[in-house]
Amino acid sequence: MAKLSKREQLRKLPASPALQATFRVAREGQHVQEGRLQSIPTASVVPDPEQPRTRLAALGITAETVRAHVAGHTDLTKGRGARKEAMEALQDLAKSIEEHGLIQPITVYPDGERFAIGSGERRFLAHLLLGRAEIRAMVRPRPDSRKRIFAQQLTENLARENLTLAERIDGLRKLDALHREEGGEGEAGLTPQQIAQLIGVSVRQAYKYLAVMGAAESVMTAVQRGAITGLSQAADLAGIKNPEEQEAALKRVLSGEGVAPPPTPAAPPKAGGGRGRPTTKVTLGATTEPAVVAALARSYLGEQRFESLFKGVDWADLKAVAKAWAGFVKAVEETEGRRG
Amino acid sequence: MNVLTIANNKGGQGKTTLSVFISQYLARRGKRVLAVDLDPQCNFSQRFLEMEFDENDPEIIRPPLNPDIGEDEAPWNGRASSADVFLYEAAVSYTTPYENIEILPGQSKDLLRVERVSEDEVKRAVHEIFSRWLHEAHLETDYDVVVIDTGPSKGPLTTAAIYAATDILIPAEMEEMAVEGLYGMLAYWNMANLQRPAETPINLLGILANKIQTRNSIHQHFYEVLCEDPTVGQFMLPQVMHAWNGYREATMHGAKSIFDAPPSTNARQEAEAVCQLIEERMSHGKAIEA
Repeated sequence: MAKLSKREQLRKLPASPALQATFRVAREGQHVQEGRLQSIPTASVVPDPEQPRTRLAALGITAETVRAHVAGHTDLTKGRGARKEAMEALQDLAKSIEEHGLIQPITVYPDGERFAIGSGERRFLAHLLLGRAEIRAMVRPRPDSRKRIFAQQLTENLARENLTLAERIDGLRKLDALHREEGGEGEAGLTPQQIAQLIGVSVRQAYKYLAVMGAAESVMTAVQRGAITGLSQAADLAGIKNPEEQEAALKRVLSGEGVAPPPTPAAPPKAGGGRGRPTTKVTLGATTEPAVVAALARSYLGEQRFESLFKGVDWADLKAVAKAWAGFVKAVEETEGRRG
Repeated sequence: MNVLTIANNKGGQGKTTLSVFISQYLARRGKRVLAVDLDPQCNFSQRFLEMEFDENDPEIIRPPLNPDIGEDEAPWNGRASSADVFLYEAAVSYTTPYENIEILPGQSKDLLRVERVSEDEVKRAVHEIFSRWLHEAHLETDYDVVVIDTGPSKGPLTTAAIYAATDILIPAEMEEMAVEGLYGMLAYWNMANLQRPAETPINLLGILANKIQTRNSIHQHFYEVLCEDPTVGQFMLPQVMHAWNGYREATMHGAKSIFDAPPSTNARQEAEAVCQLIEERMSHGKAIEA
């Protein structure tokens, strides 16, 4: 195995608690700059009907049932697996809040006399479990449109850490759609930089998310079913352009193998084409021979147009030739673009 | 008027050196600077004034007699310090050998008195006094920038300096224990913002990676890791400071300003680049307008 440099070795160390806390606090600081923090009565908090994360509600864990659970009228930890698990996770969260306090306040919007939850459903329910009468909340002005609230909720939910790949991709796709809708025509959707900012990942990771967001139906379904949970794996699959190869790779992944096929003499190009920027242009090669440039341009343009376009070019000066070539390519693009 | 607080509750991060450089740089750029020393160790003051030491009491470092004050003038008794703001809500500055720089020096014993207040009520009052004084003394008619150097603590003095700031600069070594300090400072920044009106948030001007040793992989590692975080990365200044010997020379007693060093030296060029970046990133002093 190749020896790792000192820096690479350091990279492998997990981020220390201090570093993690620094990142978290900086993020909270940004939120603080955007809204007002205060303590509000838990009795005045209502769930938002359009909250995109409905898993808990679907499991029957709501403010109402949790209150009944605390009062001893019902036992939410009894019964089927998923709800029991969710309740136990909620109890763990409550325990952590009891020990360390609420580190990240929930976000609410004034809704008449009440406050609708923007983000922090679990933290709110954990407070109910603890029988708390108040909760620390960031009170934000209610955004003008439902669409904007939805975008904000998505954004905040995406920034959380315990989402599955499917939930994250789903949220990003919805946000991307909203983004395009609001931007109108010509809006290209979320950029890798925006995604990195939104969900707190590196730009490199963001490119992978983008690749998965644009993945073919079969890959997407596998992600949504939870059959693929790794971002890199999903991105690698999404990056395979040939549908047949992609299908084959998907089968391999679903049967527990890697994305890449077992090596054969005619192995297709390395998987992972989904990494990095999508290819948006073709480079027309390079040459040190000005004569090549002249010959290509002359054969396309014909003598007359060639003379007029390349008039006065110093063929001994590569810089001047490169510039003239760029002008030529542009002219070709204009002509061919019109035809195409 | 900008109030630039240089803070990090860890010691040895280069707060005082930076405070000196920034004060000198801005003064040379024609800004009228009030340097304020809130560190009971008074190192910042000693760069500009001949401070007096008491051989019988190591806790006493005090400013020299101020020619602007009569020796029998209460409560000053001939000397003035930044502690006066906390004790009397008033202060008298000293002129320095540098054009455009005046200083409100520290006085160790009085500052320690303030630093040691323990009751919550008093603490809260201390936090707000400095900010209130800055507003009410109409300093903006005499100064363009107030540069506050703070001590290595999370005590009431540092909190007061952060609360009063329009801009905060956090110098930090790129090492594990310094990063632990970074967490604390960001938390303070949050807390101070929560207590201030929403219209005038404190501008976290940046985190300056300081005392970088070239070829030290740990320094590079921490700098990269911090830069890669989407939130913290925004605050990391793109210009770092190295552990050049020129910085040590420039902060020795009676030494010439770093900006008087030959223009070709690493230290001077880097100090200029850092200070220029800081000047560019300063908020426009919205909190305290002339």
